[in-house]
This record gives sequence, C-alpha cells and structure tokens, in this order.
Amino acid sequence: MRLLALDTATDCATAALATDGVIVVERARAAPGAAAREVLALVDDVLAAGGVGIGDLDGIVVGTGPGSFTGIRIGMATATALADAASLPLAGVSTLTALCEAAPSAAVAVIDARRREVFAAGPDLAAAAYDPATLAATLRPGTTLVGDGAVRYRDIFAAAGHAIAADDDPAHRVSAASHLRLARFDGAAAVPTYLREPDAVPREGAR
Amino acid sequence: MILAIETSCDETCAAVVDGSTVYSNVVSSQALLHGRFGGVVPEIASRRHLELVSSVVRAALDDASVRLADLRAIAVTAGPGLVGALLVGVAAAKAYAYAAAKPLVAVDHLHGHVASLSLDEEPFEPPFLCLLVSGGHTLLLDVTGPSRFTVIGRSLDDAAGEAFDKGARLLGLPYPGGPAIEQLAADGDPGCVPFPVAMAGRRGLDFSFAGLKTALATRLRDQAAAPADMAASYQAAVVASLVLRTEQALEATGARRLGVVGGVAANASLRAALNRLGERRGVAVKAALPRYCGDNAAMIGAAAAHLVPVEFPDFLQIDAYARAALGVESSVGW
Repeated sequence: MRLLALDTATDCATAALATDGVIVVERARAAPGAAAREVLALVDDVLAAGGVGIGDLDGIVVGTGPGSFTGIRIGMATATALADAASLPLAGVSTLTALCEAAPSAAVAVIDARRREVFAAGPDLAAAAYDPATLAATLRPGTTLVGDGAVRYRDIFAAAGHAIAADDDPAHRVSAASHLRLARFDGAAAVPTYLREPDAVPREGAR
Repeated sequence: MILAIETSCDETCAAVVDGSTVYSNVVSSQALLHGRFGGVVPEIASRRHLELVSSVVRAALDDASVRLADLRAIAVTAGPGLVGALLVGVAAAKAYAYAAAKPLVAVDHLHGHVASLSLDEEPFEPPFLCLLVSGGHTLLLDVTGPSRFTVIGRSLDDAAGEAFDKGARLLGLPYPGGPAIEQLAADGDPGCVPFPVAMAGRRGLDFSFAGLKTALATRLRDQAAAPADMAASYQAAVVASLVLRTEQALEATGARRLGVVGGVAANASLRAALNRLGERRGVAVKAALPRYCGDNAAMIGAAAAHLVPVEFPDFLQIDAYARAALGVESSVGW
C-alpha cells in the first residue's frame, strides 16, 4: 500500500510518501506566499526519491487547511487532479490535526490566520479563528502550543504562561508524514476547511 | 486533441478540442451564486472553482469519449483574470499534465476569445480587426496571425460588460446585467431617452463607459421614462459607442474584415448594429457563435493549438497573472 500526502495550507509546502505504513521520504519547502506553487515539484521529488511513479500509488492524502485560502486551494486542486487522473482515492486531513499529531506531547495547534487572528484546535478546543489574546486567556496555563501562529504571537501566548518551543523547532512546521499516519480512506470527501466566510455583502433587495 | 481548462472569472470550464472541432465544451456557471452580491465575489468564485474543477474536467473527457492518454497536450488559461480563481485551474492543469505525462500550454484569456472565431464550420482566420467585448475587457485588436495581435484601442475605465452590469444595477435588474438589459430593452424604444455617445468628440480609438453609467443615474432620477424605454436607450448608447470606435478603427487600419468576440458579442442589438456597419462599409463581419462568446474552455483549446506546449518540469514555472500587458505587440500569447 503506497500513499502520497501533500499540504500547502501554510508557508511551508510539504509532501511525503509511505509504503505499508512506513514513511519512506518527506520533503518540505518554506517559501512565504509561494510555497504552494512549488507543490508539484515536491511531489515529483518525493516520488523520485521513493523510486515510484504516480501510477504505483494506492491513494493520495491532502491537507484541507485551515491556513492560506489560496494555499489550501492549490494543494487541494493539485491533489484532486492527481487522484482523478490516476483513478486513486483521495482522503483529507485537517492541517491543525496534523500539527497536533506531530507534537511531542499533547498540544494545541495554532496557524497564522493573518488579520491579527489565528486558526487553532486542540484536545479540548474546537477548530476556529481566534483573537490571539482571547485564545491565550481561554487555554489552561502551561498549554503547549505548536505552529506558525504560536511563533508569530509568541509574546502574547508566553505572557499567559503557555509553552512554545524555539522558533526553528520542527514541531512548528506542518509535515505531510503526519497526514500519512492520520489518513482514513473511508470514502468521505476531502473538503476544504476555511474557517472564515468570504468578505462579501449581499446586495440590498437582491433576489 | 487538447484538453483545455478555464477558471479566470466565474465560470468553471473544460473542453476537448482538436483544431476547429469541439468534442466537448462544459461550462459550469456561478452566476446564480454571485447574483445576490450584484457581481463576482473573487473568494466565492475561487472556492466554487475548487469544488467543480475535477468534475468539470471529467465531464469534458466523458462527453468527448476521450481518455487523458489520448491527448496531445493540456491547456489552461493563465491570465488575465482573478488570480485566486486562475490558480485553481492552473494547479489542476499542472497536476493533470504531470499525472498523464503530457505537455502543458499556458493560454492568454484574451487570445482565447480571439480564437473563438475559429470554432466554426467556416473558421474566420486572420488578418482581421477584432472587437473584444466582455465583462472584463473592451479592446480593439489588430489581429495579424493566429497568435499575433496588437491592441489599438481599449476602455479607459469600465468594460462594456461592466457598463451593462452597473446599468442593470441602477435599473434594479439582476446580475449578470447584459442579458437582463437586453431582455427588458426588447420592448422599449431606444430613441426615447437621449444619451451622449461616449468619447464621440475624443481622438484615438479608446473607449469610456463610466460617464454613461452616470448619465443613466441622472436620467433615472430626472426623467419619467418606462423602464423598458430606459433600458433600450441605455443599451443603444453602449452599442453606439462600440460601433463608433469600431468604424474609426476600420478606417484607421483599412481592415476589410471584422471579428466580434466576448460575452457582450452575444448581444443581438450589437451584432445587428455591427452587421449594418459592415454592409455600409463593405466589410465582412463575423461574430463568434453565441455559445463561444461567454467564457468557455473550447476557445482556450483553439488558441492553444497555435502555441508551443511546455514539457515537465519546465511547465512548473507557468504562473497565473492578473493583468494583460496592454499596448505591447504580442506573439505566442501575452
């Protein structure tokens, strides 16, 4: 059973390959604002390193966000088209759940949502967009936080007594290896998780 | 055969095309989705493109009874348009090309509109003068080859389709405005309410429609005309402005043939007025078939036939772009 996973919801694009549950190779590329556009090159790197082609796969796993709206769409459009072209099943994994999975201990995942907000989720925290200060006050003091949102608002979270590893700690980066460990091919459709409505005001009197 | 994908605005499109033969042409319109906002909301359009793109591609392949392996290349609109919307099509097209080991062709959306004239039993081939009128663009193009054209006139503000959308809004009509105004105008008197002909006194071949929209607002406030008469008069003013500049462009270039493309080219009143212009001047006039006027992927596939496909990994460099490089003579797309 060979599975490919990719995630481009954050500034770190990632792809990984697993054979029978063992992670064979993982590649990541950090490129703020542009990482998602590199994803197909990463996929090719990973497949080449694993010595397989797209036709040798048994399924594809994609990170469904939350994160950059455009990033989510590039990753999911790529994964959906690869799966369709090669007649493979597609499974989705939440990018927040993937971050929690990779943390060394129980942690809350925090992704930068821009506009002075973060997307967060954890063992006792529903996935949503939060104001960093409100989130910091909500969590039990001493909670471990991982993700680029935890790094960006380190001062706010540290002041509330939460634990955040050093900026360059790998726990802050999304790794597609997590998606491979979490994926369930149960027929459920991979659905993007935006956690924020589009900015649009219905026109008055519109039908 | 080429599989083409187009997601530059609010239609998710895929088609299978071979030269001037269209094997399938799937267009999934989002107009109803954007209607309640009175125009296209980019983020909503991008989200919808992601939901639809692979099923639209699959429908295009199935309608044509074609497998990915049968294709010569995959083509995709790279711009101009809404970048977030374009990126969905570009990412999907790259992934299909990669998985199927096919080359990729990046197509300019405006080149696609020009190429829509070739999708006919009697393809209209260059050279010709082309009036491109859509919701996003109003251009006069000197088309010298299948992928060679120079912009000789363009709108300095709103596109003609935008003028219809904004006019419809003022008239209390739904989005998209062109078909709504055309329908209401059918029972109206186009001479009932006088409008200025935009840019009539200005030199050059550029258009301007923002003033017409203001004139409509003023007349709606000050004059008690029936809505149908107001719509007919407004439509006639937009058409008159397009015809005036087109005639001046025919004069300036000496062109003997005129092509008309883009969503607004489906407007019967514009088609009739340009046909009359052609008869008066002895110029052959050809409008794209109505089904290829609005955004579609068949025209992207038609344009791609004249461009050089790019192999993997070089096609990874193809990126979406928002704006056309106007005024620059282009060859091999913009």
